Amino acid sequence: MLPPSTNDRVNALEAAEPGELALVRRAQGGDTGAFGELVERHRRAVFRAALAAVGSPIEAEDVAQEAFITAFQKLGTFRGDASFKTWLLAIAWRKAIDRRKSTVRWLQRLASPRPIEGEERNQMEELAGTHRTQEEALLGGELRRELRTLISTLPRNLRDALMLACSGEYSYEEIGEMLAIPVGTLKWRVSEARRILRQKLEAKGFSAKIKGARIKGSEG
Amino acid sequence: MKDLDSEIDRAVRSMLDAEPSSAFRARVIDALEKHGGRRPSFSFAIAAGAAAAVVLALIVLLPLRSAKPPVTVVVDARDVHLPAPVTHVAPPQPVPGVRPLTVSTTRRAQRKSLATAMTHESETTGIVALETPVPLSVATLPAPAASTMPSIQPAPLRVTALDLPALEMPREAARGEDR
Repeated sequence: MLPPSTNDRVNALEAAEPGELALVRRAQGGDTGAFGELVERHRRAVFRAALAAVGSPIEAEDVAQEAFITAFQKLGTFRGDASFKTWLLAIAWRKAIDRRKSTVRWLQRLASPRPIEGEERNQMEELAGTHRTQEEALLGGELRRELRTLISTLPRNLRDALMLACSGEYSYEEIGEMLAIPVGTLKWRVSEARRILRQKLEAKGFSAKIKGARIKGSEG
Repeated sequence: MKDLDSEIDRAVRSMLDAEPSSAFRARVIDALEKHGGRRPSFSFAIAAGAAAAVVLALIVLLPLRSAKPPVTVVVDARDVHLPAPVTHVAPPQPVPGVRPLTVSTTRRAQRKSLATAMTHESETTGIVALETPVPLSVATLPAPAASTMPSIQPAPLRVTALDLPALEMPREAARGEDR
């Protein structure tokens, strides 16, 4: 079986994201307007990948901006072997990891530890839910808080894989490219992370609590 | 198990439930236009080539500029006060018990001719020649005297047998043997 030719790759890229190839070609020619359109299309995916790595929306936005600037500078190297989105996400992930490892960031965190973001908002959402019992909603809130804490304590390689896979934003192939690991390894990391979280939750009695709350809800 | 898995998914999505600011796109484009985000690689190649050409030019031009014309120094002999040059140096007297340095005659002859040349030089140029240095004579060290330090060789080991008294059997054991 012959490897795909350049034309085949280009056609595949065009079929997956119509019009994107044309935007990329124009951006490669220096058209910042065309690049702006690409930014608009992929900003959420890039931002959320950065957020999965750095944990802070403010830093994630900085990282996403750096990623797009670097992508523009390196546009000449994009050959269409993978989709533009995958190529861009790989750049964004590397930038996010560099930021995560940076000493300055570590010192900032040491100086002013931040609380878990969005926690209060989520609590209100849970309480306001109409299709669930109050008890289940409260339990869900407590469970989610516990899960956030447990997820943050996972080993980094498992946590990154789990966050990206469960976000619903990326395919396993895209995540494999970002993390530079085979899809098989990625799937193992995700299932391992889930297993550890289930184990810890069951040890804290959450599995039984959830079942109890669901039974009461169905009765009532 | 499915419940917990769903909860894990929901927890992760809630952690990533955020959007970049509405001005994000404008900020990126602004940053590109301000800092001149470099265009495709061919312009980088041109810049690299120009930088290499500048470096080469510097390498070639710098040695030419640093080569200076020879400077002629004129010294007025009247301003220089030096003792009269020594033209004849008496050979050193041999010290009894001291081995004299063996200096090759060719070297001595060279020094002599140098002194002569320097004298000749002073006559023609007006520069007073420097004094011929006196040859060195180094006294040889006397042979080392016999060492009075004790030898550091260890003395041979003398092992003597231990003189132990014979053991006395206890009385009960002795009676049992007798039986």
